[in-house]
Amino acid sequence: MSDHEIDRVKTGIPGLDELIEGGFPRGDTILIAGKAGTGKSILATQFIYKGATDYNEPGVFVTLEEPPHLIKRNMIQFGMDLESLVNNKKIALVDLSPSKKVTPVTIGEYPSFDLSGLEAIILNHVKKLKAKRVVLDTLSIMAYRFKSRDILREEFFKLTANITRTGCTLLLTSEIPAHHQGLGVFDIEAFLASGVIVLYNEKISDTSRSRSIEVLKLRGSKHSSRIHSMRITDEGIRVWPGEISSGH
Amino acid sequence: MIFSWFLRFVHQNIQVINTALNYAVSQNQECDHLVDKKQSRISSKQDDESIEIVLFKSDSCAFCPRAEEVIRETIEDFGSAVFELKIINVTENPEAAEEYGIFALPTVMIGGLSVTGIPERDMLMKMVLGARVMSKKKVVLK
Repeated sequence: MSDHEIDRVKTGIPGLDELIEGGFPRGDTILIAGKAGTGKSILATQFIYKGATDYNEPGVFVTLEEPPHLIKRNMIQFGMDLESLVNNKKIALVDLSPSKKVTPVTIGEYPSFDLSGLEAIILNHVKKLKAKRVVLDTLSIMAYRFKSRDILREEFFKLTANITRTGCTLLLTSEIPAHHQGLGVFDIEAFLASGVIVLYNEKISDTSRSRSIEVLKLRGSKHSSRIHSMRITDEGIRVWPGEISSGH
Repeated sequence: MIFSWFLRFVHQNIQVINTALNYAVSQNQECDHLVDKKQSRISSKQDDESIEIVLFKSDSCAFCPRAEEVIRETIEDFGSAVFELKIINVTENPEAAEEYGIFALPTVMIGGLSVTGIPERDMLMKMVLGARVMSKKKVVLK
């Protein structure tokens, strides 16, 4: 690798690396945005799973929304056994979902807080596993847990910087609300990340929908500017680099 | 005088106290295993009558020292013998933050309820009153 060449992290999504010069730039923050049901969580989980199984890169998956037992159940459908990776300390599934039994009920919030608790939790797992990959799924849920959006926006910048400073490549997922033009509820999601990937599941007729993927930006990379076909197969997400989506 | 103030306070905040009660009943937590021995604790009362106040803080949290001050002042005003203050530094003990799902700091937890940010005294008092009524209820239940 020459001095000018960027170290790339293989995504583990068949076909996607071909659109982005071989993978995500190592140590970058990548945003995976899309409306509900577009496959964001599957893509992010596959990134962690394949990192551990195919590229010997331990990963930390932080779930703020879906409880781990459901993530494990859903991913086993694609032949991805997360449980065994957790047991072998190849990945960590960090449960910060609202379904946790012992989480206290927040009855008040004052605009004088930071996210150093979340940061400490994540960095603890990164250190223990010597992780190279981190997923935060999903950023959007924070909008429902906290009222002070300005503080959250500022804190997200600190949080992402402190995670990637460890050398980890960070994937954030963001749910685009229906009829929303931006990339998420905070309107700063694109600024947080040096790469943005958007997933679609557009209705193309009365009876069918078509999945597709677009690399909206990826700093330092000559990425495809087309919208490509994507499918959720029995083995997870697959992208067809040569196939331009019919839904657009 | 104090009694009439107390009645007025309870009357004005009856809804919050009820909520506090319900959650305290269902989620009353014990955090002894999470607190580092070096970390501070007021009051030596170890029986069921003491009300546990847990403050989650971190080394980098700029708002945490003030939150701790407010809690200590409120405890003093109430009568410190009734309380047990546990301070959990998540920089040293991130597992505790994970166990309780605490992202934002400072967070104060009383019973199964929490407040994020530098708390106001009134809010702490509401939470404490809820916990206090709860502790009396526990005694009656015995």
